[in-house]
This record gives sequence, C-alpha cells and structure tokens, in this order.
Amino acid sequence: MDILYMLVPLSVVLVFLILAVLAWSVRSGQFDDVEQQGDRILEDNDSPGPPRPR
Amino acid sequence: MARHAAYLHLDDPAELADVARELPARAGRARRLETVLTIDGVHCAACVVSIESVLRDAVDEVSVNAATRRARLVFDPDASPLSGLMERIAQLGYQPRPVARSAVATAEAAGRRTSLWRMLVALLCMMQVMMYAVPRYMAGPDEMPADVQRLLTWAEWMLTLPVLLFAAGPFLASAWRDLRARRIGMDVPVSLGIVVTFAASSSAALSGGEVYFDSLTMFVAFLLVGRWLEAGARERALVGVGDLLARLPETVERLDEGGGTTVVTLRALHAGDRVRVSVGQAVPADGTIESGHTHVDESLLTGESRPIAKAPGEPLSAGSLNLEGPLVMRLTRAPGASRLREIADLIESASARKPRLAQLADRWAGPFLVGVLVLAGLAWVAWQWIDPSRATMVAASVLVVTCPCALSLATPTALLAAAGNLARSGVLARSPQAIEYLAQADAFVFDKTGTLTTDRLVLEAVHVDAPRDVPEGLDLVPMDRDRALAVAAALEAGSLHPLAAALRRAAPDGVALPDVRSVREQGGAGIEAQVLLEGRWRDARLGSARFASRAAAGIDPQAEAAGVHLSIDGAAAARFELTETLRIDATAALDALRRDGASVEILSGDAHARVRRVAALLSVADWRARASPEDKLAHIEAMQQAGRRVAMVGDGINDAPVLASAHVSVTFATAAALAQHHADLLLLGERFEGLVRARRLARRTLRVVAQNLAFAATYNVVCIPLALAGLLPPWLAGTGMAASSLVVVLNAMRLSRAPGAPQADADRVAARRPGAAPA
Repeated sequence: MDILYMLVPLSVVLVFLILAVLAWSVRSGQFDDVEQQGDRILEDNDSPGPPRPR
Repeated sequence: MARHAAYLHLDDPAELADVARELPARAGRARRLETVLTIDGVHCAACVVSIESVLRDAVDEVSVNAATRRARLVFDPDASPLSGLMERIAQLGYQPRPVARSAVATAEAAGRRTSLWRMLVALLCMMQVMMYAVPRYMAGPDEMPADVQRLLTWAEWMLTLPVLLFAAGPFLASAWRDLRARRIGMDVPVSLGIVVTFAASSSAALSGGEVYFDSLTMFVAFLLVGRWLEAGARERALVGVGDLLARLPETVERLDEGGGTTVVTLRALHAGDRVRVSVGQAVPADGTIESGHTHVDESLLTGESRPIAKAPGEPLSAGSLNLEGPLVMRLTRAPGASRLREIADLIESASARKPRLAQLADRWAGPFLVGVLVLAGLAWVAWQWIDPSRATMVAASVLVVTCPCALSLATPTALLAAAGNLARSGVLARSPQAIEYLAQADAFVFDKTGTLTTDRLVLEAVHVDAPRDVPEGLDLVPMDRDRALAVAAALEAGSLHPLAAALRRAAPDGVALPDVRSVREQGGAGIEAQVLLEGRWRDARLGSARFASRAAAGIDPQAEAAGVHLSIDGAAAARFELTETLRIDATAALDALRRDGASVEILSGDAHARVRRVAALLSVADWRARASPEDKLAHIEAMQQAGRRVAMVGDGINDAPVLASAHVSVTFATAAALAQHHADLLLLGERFEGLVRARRLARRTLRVVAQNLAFAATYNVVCIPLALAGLLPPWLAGTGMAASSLVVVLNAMRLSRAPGAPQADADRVAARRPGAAPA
C-alpha cells in the first residue's frame, strides 16, 4: 500500500516527461507534414536536399 | 514606443507595394490603398466590432471577418500610414500581420503547430487525470483511506495545472482581453466555466469535498479538438493566395543577350526579359511566346481544364502549365503584376469581406452572451435551494454548453467554401454576398455583344462600290476586293476595336498594305486618315454608314445594313460585312438556365437584325435591340418593380451603371485588368458553363446556410434547458459545444467539393439540340 505514495507522484512526473518529449517533437516540426514524407523515397533527386515546399 | 517601431517599415513605399494594392482613385480624393491583414486572436463577433470601431475614423473602409481572421482595409497612406493602423489594432491586444506574400505561410504554420501542441497536452493530461479519478468513483464509502484519496486528488490537481495554464490559454487570454475592453466575447462564458470549476474544485480539494478536475480537463480537451478540426476545415475552405502562387516556379531560366542562359529567381525577372519554359513547368509571368508550339493547361486561371493550343505571338498567363513543347517567351509584365496575382488579390479581398447574413448573426451574438451569463447566475442561485452541492457544476455547464459560435460561423463558412469552390472553376465572387444574390436571381438578362457573342468577328462578304477600271482623266482609285481589304487593314492597324481585329485578320496575304498618315479614330463612328494610293495622299473614311457617308456620295446614311463602309475622297469605295460568332457554349448554358427555372432575355444596344439573328440561334423569345444605357437601366428597374430578381450578364467596363442596378451582375473578365470590372461575379474563362455551375452551387449554398442556422438555433434551444435542469454534466456540455461548431463547419465544407461533372451536363444539353450549333 505504501508503494502508492511513491508510484502516484512518479506517474505525475512521468506525464510531465512525456509532455517534454512531445514538446520537442512538435517544436521540431515532425507533425507539420505527415503525408508527403512517405513519397520522398520515390523522388528522383538523390541529394538529400531541403524538405519540399508545400 | 517599441511596438510602433515594429510596424514602421511598412510605410516604406517599396514595402507597402508588397502588402497593399493601389485602388483606382476617385475624383477629388487622395490615393486609396487596399490591404488585407491577418489578425491573430480574433475569435468572435465582439472582437470584430471593437477592431472595426477603433479603425473606422482613420480609414475609408474596414471589414473584419471572424471566420477567416482577415481584415480588409481601404486607406489613404498619406493621411493615415499603415503603421499607425497596425498600432491601433495591436493596442487592443491583437496581433495584426500584413498578408505579405511569403511570411504568411510560416506564421500560419507556427500557429497550427502551437494549437496542435495545446491539444496534445490537454488530451494527455485528461487521460491521466481520468486514471486518478477512477478509484475515487469506484471505492465505496470508507473503503479508501483518507490520505490515499488526498494523494489522488492532488495528483489530479497537478495535472490540471498545465491544462488550465497552457492548453486553455487561448480561451482565458481572449476572455481577459474582452473583459478589459468591457465587452463580452464568445470565450467569456467558456473561460468563466473553466475558472469557476477549477476554483471550486481546488477549494474542495483543501476541505475534502467533491472535485471535478476530470470534467475540467475533459471539456478543455474536447473544445481544443473541436477548434483544431474546425480551423483545419476553415483553412481548406479558403483558397489562399499561397495556394495559387505556389504553382509558380521558384527559379527561372533567363536567356541572356549573348545567347547563354542564367538561372534566376522569380523576383529578379522584369518585363521584357526572355525566359525558357520547359515541358511540365508553369509559366512564371505574363508574356507572349517567341518560339515554340505547345498546349497549355490554364485551369488555374480559368477553371478550363481542356488544353489550349498556343503558337508564337500568342499570349501566355502566369500559372498556366506548359504541357507539350519547350517554349521561349518574352515577358510583358513582371511576375509581381501578373493576372494570377490579380486573381489572388481579388480572392484575398473577397474573403475578408463580411457577408450581410453574418453581420446579422454578429449583432445578435452580444445580447445572446449576456443572456447566457445571466442564466448561469440565476441557475446557481436556484440550485442553492435544490441541491447546493451541484449548483457550481450546473452553472458551469450552462456557461460551457451555449454556443453562439455555431450561429456566427453558420453563414461565413458556407459562403467561403462556395467562393473557394467557384474560384477553382474560374468564377470569382467579389464578395461572399454575390453568391447569396446569385442564388436568388430568377431572371437572367444578357447583353449581346461580347457576352453571348465573342468579340471575335469574321468577315463574311466584301462589296466593292468603286469602279474597277478608272477612265483616263478622272482621279479615282481603281478598287478591287484585295485592295479594299488592304486599305481597311492599314486604316485599322492601330485600333483596338473588335471590328479592327477582324479586318486586320481578313487582310489578304501577299498584298502590301498602303501607307497611312494622320489617323484619327472617332469613338463609336469610325476612322479617318490619309492613305497613299496611286501616288497621292487621299482622304479615307472607314466606319458606320453615317460616318463614311459624310461628304461622300453613294452611301445611304440611313442604311442599317450591317457593315463597315469605306469611302475614299468622298466616294463610296467598298462595304464589308462582318458577323459575330456565338460564344461556344451559349446555347447549352441558356438551356441549362431555363431548365433550372430562370427566365432568359437579351437586352442589347445593337441593331435589330443582328439581335434577332442571335436570339433566333439561341431560341430566346424575349429580346430588345437598340437599347441605350438609359433604356437598359429603365428596363431592369421595371423588371425589379415587377418583383423579379435580375441577374445582368454584360460587359463589365462599358455597362457598369446597368450592372450596378441589377440584383447581381456577372461579366466575362478575359481581357482587361480584373480590377477594372464592376461586376459582382467575374467569369475568368471563355465559357458560360461557370455561370450555370455557379448558380447551382449558390442555391445549394443557401440551403446549407439555412440548415446551419436551424441546427445552431435548435442546439442552443435544446441544450440550455437541459443544462439548467442539471441533466448535462460539464464534460458533456464541452463535447456538445465543440461538436456543434464542428457540425456547422463540416456541413459548410460540403460546398467546397466539386459537384458531379458539370461539363458532362453541358455536353448532354448540347447533344440534345443538334440543330442549334453555334454559328
């Protein structure tokens, strides 16, 4: 039972940790364009150029 | 002031030219510029009213559209500089941004990113808060030790904080802004609901009472999901400038004088440059083809999806796609002044205008919100007697469930989605209102010249009046068909009149045109000049019978006989007969309009014979010829007094007053600059099919608006009593509110989908009437 006093605060910390990771992934633009990236492999240019403008 | 300085650069003329558009000056007025701003933080009617009122005394026109967060300003840059106007908006607490062509996209992407992030935070915290709440609900009385219960409660409190402070930030911030400005916006009741629930639950957490952190996180999450979906839908409804201009290539191959090529950016191009356009590439700017034959796809500009053949010398518009062969073209205008840019500007300015129906909804939003606050207060007081422990939750439910946004979104989103759809098929609505009016129109009045017929005339016959062989001693010019045509072509060389083009085209091959001098063109009558024939300068007149017969024998000035008369040295020389060609799908379009229940008539200033011919070809029974502009005006007013809603389809430049008097006006805008047209709807293609489609779509739009308004009203009428009776917990109220605005937006979005194959329809009509092929 006493373990709850550690686990519940730990789960709160974990949520904040997950939020921090999510914050990083959203900030770095990973959700901006989820469709076109899959098509990139089919494109002809071999150079890993900048992401295509939309 | 630091913030003022942030906008000062906008007063620089070069910078200003990038964000604002010069409007034609009015007599006796200073310069007028039109600009469109994106304003962050506008959510509702109250924001709109306060922005409009703070600007009204400094600008000629201002309209803010809450649905698109765009403001359209018409102002005099000398009297009130743009930086000052932006500063006024900023002082209200909003962030105005000029719709500068490239910065918008990045700013909008950043906005999308933040709101996605807020939504994720709310959803994640909601999930976890729910986990802590489960044991509290499941445990029977005295089953859970008090300190475990307190532990779970405070864990919920911890996770509610990010939801309250970050995820719900936009609601709270906008409500705070409203309250500081002493007005009530759409976010005030919602924010009040959030704050009240949090405060009541926090004090309950301290004293050990009932907490509602789960409800709070849930309705914030649902509201954010709703807004996120709604924003996405709204964005898709707007055919943004970005969409159109994104089609242009970023770099262009410019041909140098020496014969080499340089790759330059679009901005570095000027009028007069020669560029290469390879297959599959979009034409970078307006110009003419120097070499190369190809087909181009102009669907972006005209909605016309069929490929169009282009040969050297023919014009190309920016944004059309080169389909077949490589081209070299010479630019006639810089990329910044292309027709595509004009179209984009027009769409941008129309999307910032507020439709009349939306203004009505906005006026009602204020009193409605006050009513909601009063109701919530009364509910709280009443529940003190019924069940004090639930009073707070009932009041919060009432605050959260009401949704004036569904009411005020109902109209603008539908009209915008329809306008976007129309723009993609080559019909530009100058204001969202035009769509409403087009749907109501039940009588279509067509001008003939340039509308039912194209301005392309063809030469039908030449009658030579002068003698072929001139006796010795007489100073007359021998005349034959070729020479008559050559003289006519030489006289019309510099004229823009449609007749001139036809005569120039008719000039015989291999015959040198005679020299002409002192050419004078008399508008509406003809051309007079001196022509070098048989070694002598002779006076020649070319034009109407009356004009050519002045001081000329052999032409009856009363003869209405269609044709252009040529006289040389006062003697009749030749007569040219020209006929008009019908616009390619005029028959099909008029048929479609009649089948859709509209009446059709022709009102023309042209001669009886020609109007009768066109009317017969189109089987229009109702036609009027020789109508002066005053006659046309009187006729339309008479129809309107008889209760008809008249749509006038005509020439947007010469017929402006007649068009203005009609209920709604339509014009083909293929040649002249778009801004010069004074019609409500501009057809960008060469065909009528857009008009028929537009009318059907407009009628569907009005039905969708009616559905939306009915739904929003029903929702509020049903849900507010339920919330008052305590039957709606706050989380359900939040879901309802989010769902109601979403339903309205999604319903409107149906209009942005293209209806089933309009072309097939027009073809079917044409096939049904084989006898009426256009001349």
